[in-house]
Amino acid sequence: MMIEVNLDVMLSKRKMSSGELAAQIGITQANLSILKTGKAKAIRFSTLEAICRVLNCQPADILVFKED
Amino acid sequence: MKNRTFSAKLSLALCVFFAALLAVSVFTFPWFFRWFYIDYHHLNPDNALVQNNLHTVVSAFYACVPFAAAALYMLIRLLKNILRGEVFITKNVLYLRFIAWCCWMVALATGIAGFFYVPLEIIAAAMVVVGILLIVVKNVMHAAVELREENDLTI
Repeated sequence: MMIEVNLDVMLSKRKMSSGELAAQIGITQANLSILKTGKAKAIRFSTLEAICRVLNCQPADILVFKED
Repeated sequence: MKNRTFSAKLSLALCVFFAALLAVSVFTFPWFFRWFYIDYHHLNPDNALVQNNLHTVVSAFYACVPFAAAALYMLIRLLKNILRGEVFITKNVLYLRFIAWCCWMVALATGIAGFFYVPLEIIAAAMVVVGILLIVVKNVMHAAVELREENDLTI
C-alpha cells in the first residue's frame, strides 16, 4: 500500500512548471522535487492547502492511494 | 548558540591537548611512571613485586594506547562535525559507538592487567561505565538522527 503523488499530472494540466509552483507555494524546488519523486515521508496541511489553492484542485487530485 | 560553539571549541582544544599528551607519553611513560612509582614513593627498585607492578602498568598503558588514540581521533572528528553544524548525522552516531567500543577495549585491557595489579581494576570499572554512558548518548543521537531525517522529509 502506498500513497502516490500525482503532482506532475496536475502541473501539466495547469501548464505550470515546478519552479513556478514552488515559488507560489513558498517552498524550495528541492523540497518540491522530494514531494514529486515520492521520497517525502509526510506533507503538512499548510503545504497541501497551498498546492490546492495554486493548482485550483482537491487533495484527491494530487494524492492517490494505491494497493501493492 | 555562542556558548555551544565555545564549549565545542574548548572540548576540541582539550582533545588536541590530550592527543599531544598521549603522543608524548608513548615515548616517556615508562620513565615517568618509574620515577613516579619508585623514586617519588621511595620504593625499593629491586623488589620483585614493585618490578612486577611497574611492568604491569607499563604493559597495560601500551595496550590501551591504540584505543585511546583512535577514540581521541574520533572525538576530534565528532567535535569538528558539531562545529560545522552537522550534529544529528549518522556519522556522529558511528563515531560515538566506536568511542564506546574503544572504552570497552581499554576496560578489557586494564581488567586483565588488574589481575596482576589490582588498582587497575578501578580504571577498568570506570571505562565500562563511560562506555555504557556513551552507548546511551549514541542511542539518543540515533533517535535524533531519525527524527531529523523525518523532519527533513516532511514537506
